[in-house]
Amino acid sequence: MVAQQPPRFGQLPLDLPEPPDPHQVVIGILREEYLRNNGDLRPFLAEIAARRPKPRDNSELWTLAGAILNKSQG
Amino acid sequence: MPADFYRENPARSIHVLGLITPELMTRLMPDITRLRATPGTPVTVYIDSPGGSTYVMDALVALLRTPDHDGRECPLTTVVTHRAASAAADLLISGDYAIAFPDAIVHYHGTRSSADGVTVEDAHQMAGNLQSANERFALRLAQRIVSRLLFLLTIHRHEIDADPREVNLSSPAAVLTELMCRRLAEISPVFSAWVEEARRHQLETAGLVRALISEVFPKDAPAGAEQEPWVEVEIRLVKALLDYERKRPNRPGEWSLSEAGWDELRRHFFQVIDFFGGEHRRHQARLVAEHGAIMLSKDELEDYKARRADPAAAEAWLKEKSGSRMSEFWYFVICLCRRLQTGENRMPAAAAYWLGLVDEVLGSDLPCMRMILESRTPPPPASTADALS
Repeated sequence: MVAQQPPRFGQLPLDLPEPPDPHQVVIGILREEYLRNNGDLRPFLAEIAARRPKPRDNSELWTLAGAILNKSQG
Repeated sequence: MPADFYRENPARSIHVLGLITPELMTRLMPDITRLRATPGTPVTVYIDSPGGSTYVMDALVALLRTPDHDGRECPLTTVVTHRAASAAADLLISGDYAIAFPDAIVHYHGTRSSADGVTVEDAHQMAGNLQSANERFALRLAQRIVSRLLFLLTIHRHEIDADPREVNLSSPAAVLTELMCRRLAEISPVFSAWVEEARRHQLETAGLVRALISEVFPKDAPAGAEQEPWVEVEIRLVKALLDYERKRPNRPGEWSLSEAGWDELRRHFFQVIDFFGGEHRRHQARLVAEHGAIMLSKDELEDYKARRADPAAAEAWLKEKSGSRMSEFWYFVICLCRRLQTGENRMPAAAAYWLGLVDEVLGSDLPCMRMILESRTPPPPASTADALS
């Protein structure tokens, strides 16, 4: 294990790198995808849509049968 | 950077409920000072308000944005749950990320004032004050929504490229107008009419500028002419406008200054002055650097990609190619925001998304910045229950 160097006086907190601005991160991602796909972001949007969690249909949980069924499957 | 940066966070939130008044501000003060103690971490501002004092709203935003000792602020995530009207709508767009509940209503209108026993002089001054307040809010609105509109253009322009109909594809403002109009018309033609009106205003100004630019800024100007007093430019503009108005074809009746001509001349004068000298021009350099690539045609895009081996030269080339298109785009955004500051503009969450007023409509498939960010980072658990399971 390597011992961590203690911070020197004046090193904290202003010397720490600022976290990246999320807006700039998003703009950077978009710019690269836009250039890579020649302005057509359909493949990228499809990739994002595929990652999106599908909404769960909880309607059957409102019935006794549905609740029992879900419990037995869980 | 936390993966949930663009997600609402009830654990670090305040609620702006009811009228925005000094009492509300007093009530929220302890929570705000506590939340500010963790700088860099977003604060969620939930909004359900019919509006209120714009001064208090400004003070509230200023307080939320006050930096700590080291100059660090808390980013603001604003969320309209039910209604954000008037000053509350301004609060909504003041967020770094604005979210709307699916059934929420956003309501924009021009600045209002009331007074008793108003004299002619008072009325004149009040009208001037209201006009400058409207202009200030429109400019602020434009600064907030231009990034969202550029996002919409980037994400959705392939839809117009694939089905352009009669759109001029080399004009990003024309592409965005068409995109917004098509999507807004699906919700209601009322909303697409706002965008059409803004585009008409922008084209009218562009026509005026084209017709007058050679007379207002003559190419054979003597050396050192760029240092001439601005009033000289204004005088040349008035003369050119007078000539332009007098000779303008297809006018329905006789034109004279003593009829409506003087008012029209005045309106056109300020339109052109604003185009050349408005504060909005300050923001264009940053926008070109960040979004210039989407202003390019397909061929130009290929050219730009080839030039990127030399980043400085590529950026200079991009600025030259996309600068005037960004000007046109930005001026369209200004016109749209002025339109939203006129009359009563009440809209559902989806329309607010297509007008660039909110980034995300909860639960919808409309693409947003959060989805882009999370495409590169693991999404947080869907709920506490899921996290524990």
